[in-house]
Amino acid sequence: MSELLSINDAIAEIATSWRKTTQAILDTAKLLKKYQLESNWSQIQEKLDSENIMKISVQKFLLGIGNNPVLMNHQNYQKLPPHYNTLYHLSTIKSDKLEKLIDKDEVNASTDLADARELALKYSEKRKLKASLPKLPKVTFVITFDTHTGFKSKANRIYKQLVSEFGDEAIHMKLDI
Amino acid sequence: MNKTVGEISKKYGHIGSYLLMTPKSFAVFGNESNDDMVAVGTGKNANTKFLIDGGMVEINKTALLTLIQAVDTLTASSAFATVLLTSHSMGLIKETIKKLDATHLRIHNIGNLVRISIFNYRKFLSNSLIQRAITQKIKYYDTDNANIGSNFTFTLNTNSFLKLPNQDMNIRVGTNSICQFEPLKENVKYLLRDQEIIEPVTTFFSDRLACQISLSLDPKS
Repeated sequence: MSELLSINDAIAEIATSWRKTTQAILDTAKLLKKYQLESNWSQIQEKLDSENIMKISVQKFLLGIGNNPVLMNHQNYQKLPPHYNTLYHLSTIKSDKLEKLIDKDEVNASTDLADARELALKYSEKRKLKASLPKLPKVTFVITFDTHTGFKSKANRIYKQLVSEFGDEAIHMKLDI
Repeated sequence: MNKTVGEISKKYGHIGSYLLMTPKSFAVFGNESNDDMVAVGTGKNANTKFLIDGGMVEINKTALLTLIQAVDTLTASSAFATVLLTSHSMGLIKETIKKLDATHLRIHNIGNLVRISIFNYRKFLSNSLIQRAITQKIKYYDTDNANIGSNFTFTLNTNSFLKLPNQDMNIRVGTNSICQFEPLKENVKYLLRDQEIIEPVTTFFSDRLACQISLSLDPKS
């Protein structure tokens, strides 16, 4: 019984200490975020680098982390990995998606750099730019020619005629050979 | 790190043909197509010099000092906000600029959200509208990966934006009409000036209709 207790104590002690790393990274990110809007930010940035406190590249990683509202949410601190480069890759995931990944335990304290990179890549590739105008009605014609001879020039003639009527941005031609 | 004139010209020559080197830094600028853009970086150099197209130019010390101070003031400013754009987002935005033949992109906030609207300003001008079809298309990119201190709007020239590297980018929107783009893997800052143009479109979400509404003036009317 006492052995079991000591194991649990040891785990709790180690976990508390290890989690302090995550906390320290996120607290530092918060501080950098706070000073980044100040007029003397450029000097702060250079001094941190020249006095060997923190390289500019590391500052950039932490700033990325600091901008992500999900990572900076105190309630998530314990569920996050204690490595700034892993956290940086997670910060590039859209916050609603990242929140779901944390909830589903797909992101947790043991998520490593390779996992974070893979997740970041997976979810960034799905991003598309939205158009502010609604989708417009579309008509598709399929024209089949009897022979291959001269079909491109015939298609071009049709295309030019449609462009002169509706403008080149409204017409998309696809040749299926 | 020691950077030679050759190395800087090779890496940043597309930004401009003017190179200002000081013992601790360098600045590249002066291309007509992107005269709203300056690249500044750090490096150790033996002395201060000014070069055009790789050739030394003799200018007096006072003028040189004024130029150095002018470059320094570009980064000495507080900021409205900072935003993180990933390399993928940079690529996506550049692709859209090319597809729309966009002239400008506007970074602005809607509450805690940062929106980047990409548009071709020529399409909104009646005197430059030559096509029959009116395609006032605007595409936008939204992100909440940002630190917003106060409301802002900032418009960039797409010619200059296309010259930025496709890397994860920390963007700092300054209160001095200068936007700083800092790539994650490079110790350099690309500074771009505000173009002060806003696309003449009102976009809002209608609660009643439960959809996004865009209102635009027809340049033909």
